[in-house]
Amino acid sequence: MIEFYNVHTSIRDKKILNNITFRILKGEFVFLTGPSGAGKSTILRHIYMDVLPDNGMVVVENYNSAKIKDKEVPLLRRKIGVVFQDFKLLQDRTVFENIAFALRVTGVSSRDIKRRVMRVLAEVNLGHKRSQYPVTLSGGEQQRVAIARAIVNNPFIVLADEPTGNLDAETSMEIMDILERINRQGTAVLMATHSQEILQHFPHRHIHVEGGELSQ
Amino acid sequence: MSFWFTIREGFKGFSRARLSTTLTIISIFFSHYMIALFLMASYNFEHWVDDFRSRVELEVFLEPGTTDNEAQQLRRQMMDYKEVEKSRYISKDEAAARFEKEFGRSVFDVLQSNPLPTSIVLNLKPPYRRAAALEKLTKKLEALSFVDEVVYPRRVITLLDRYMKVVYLAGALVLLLLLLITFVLIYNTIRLTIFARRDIIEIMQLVGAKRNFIKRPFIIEGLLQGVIGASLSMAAAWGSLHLAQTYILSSLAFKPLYLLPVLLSGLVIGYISAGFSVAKHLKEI
Repeated sequence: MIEFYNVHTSIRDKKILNNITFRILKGEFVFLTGPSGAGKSTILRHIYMDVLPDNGMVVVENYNSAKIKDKEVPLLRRKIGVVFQDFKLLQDRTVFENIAFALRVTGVSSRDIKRRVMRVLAEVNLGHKRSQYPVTLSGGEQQRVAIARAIVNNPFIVLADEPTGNLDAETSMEIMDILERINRQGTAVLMATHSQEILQHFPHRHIHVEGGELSQ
Repeated sequence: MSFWFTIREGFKGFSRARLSTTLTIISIFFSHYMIALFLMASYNFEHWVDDFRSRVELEVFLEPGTTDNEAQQLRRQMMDYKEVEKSRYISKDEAAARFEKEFGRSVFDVLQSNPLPTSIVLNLKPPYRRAAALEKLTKKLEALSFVDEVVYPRRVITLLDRYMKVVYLAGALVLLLLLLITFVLIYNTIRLTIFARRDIIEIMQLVGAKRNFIKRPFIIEGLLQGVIGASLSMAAAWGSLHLAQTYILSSLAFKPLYLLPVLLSGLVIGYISAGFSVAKHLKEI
């Protein structure tokens, strides 16, 4: 489903990834670990083709980094959910609107939007806060909104870049439970994390990156 | 669905960069007000010049001894020329009457006989009232038999043509400069809006919005700035014209339809400058 073949990548002349090869299977839950600056985020960005390799290639479903056209990138991204440490919510829109936004910009009809947003809000237990603005929510709640936005398009994979990095231990576990639940429903999850606690608690495969190189 | 989304987001851009949007609209207003005034001035100037040109007559003096019959035949021949609108034959007697009218004395009192030549006075159709066309026609007329000399206010027409060219060139340069300033202002405002809204752009890119979909609200915003600024300037220019008609010169004229280029200019400049700005700055997000 996702394959990296001998990927070498530099950003602004700085070598970030060096000969990265790995594969993630359909419905798998994989942790991406490694110190800060090791290249974890860059690996995630390759998957939604925000960065393309200098050498080697990344294959995501039917899209190949060596052949993908600019206009195909949005189509790929509609099949991928992305969650960040800093949530990246729009502060001038309600919880409902933040999630609906992902559907609106891809041309989904209003009636479908309402139905789908309410469904994912129920999945993250935030239906009752749909009219609130992000600033009134706790960090954990904001991350749940971000997860709801990531899954509203029914992606085949959720990429989570340190999703618990800004949260306390208890809230982190709540977020992990949600990601686990999403994974059990058949969506693959690739999660970058530092947290030893999470790694010990959830026995999934690790991909470890250090200095831009891989050690599984 | 996406149409209303685009429109709504386009308007939201206004509130995101309120100060620069307001300043841009004010600047577009001033530049387009100048354009509208220029159009009004040139409309009236052109009318005045056309009126002057319509009074220009070309007088074809005939050789002594040309009979009235020959002169009339010549006149009919001239009427077939595409340049000629009207013609009038001036016989020796009419020439003498004209002399008396102009100089206050009869030609017979001064010279005891009438040496004044007969002539044909031609009025030309509008496209041929310019120096080059007059010169060409003169040559053609002088080649005809019985024609002695062709006279018209050559120097005035030549000068008029030359100065009109200078006036239009200067006007075009000023217009170009004003449009360039407008372009830079809208370009810059859209750049600021893009950076003010980079969070939303980033999320749009992340959730798979197509590039054109992301661009559209910014283009709409540029268009709106252009149209609002231009519309205000049209209203102000129309008001100024009425004031000028009341207090300065009542003969000033203008048709509201002729202000349409001002609106079009606002629309086009808004579209183009926003388009350029988005194409350049969206990549930097």
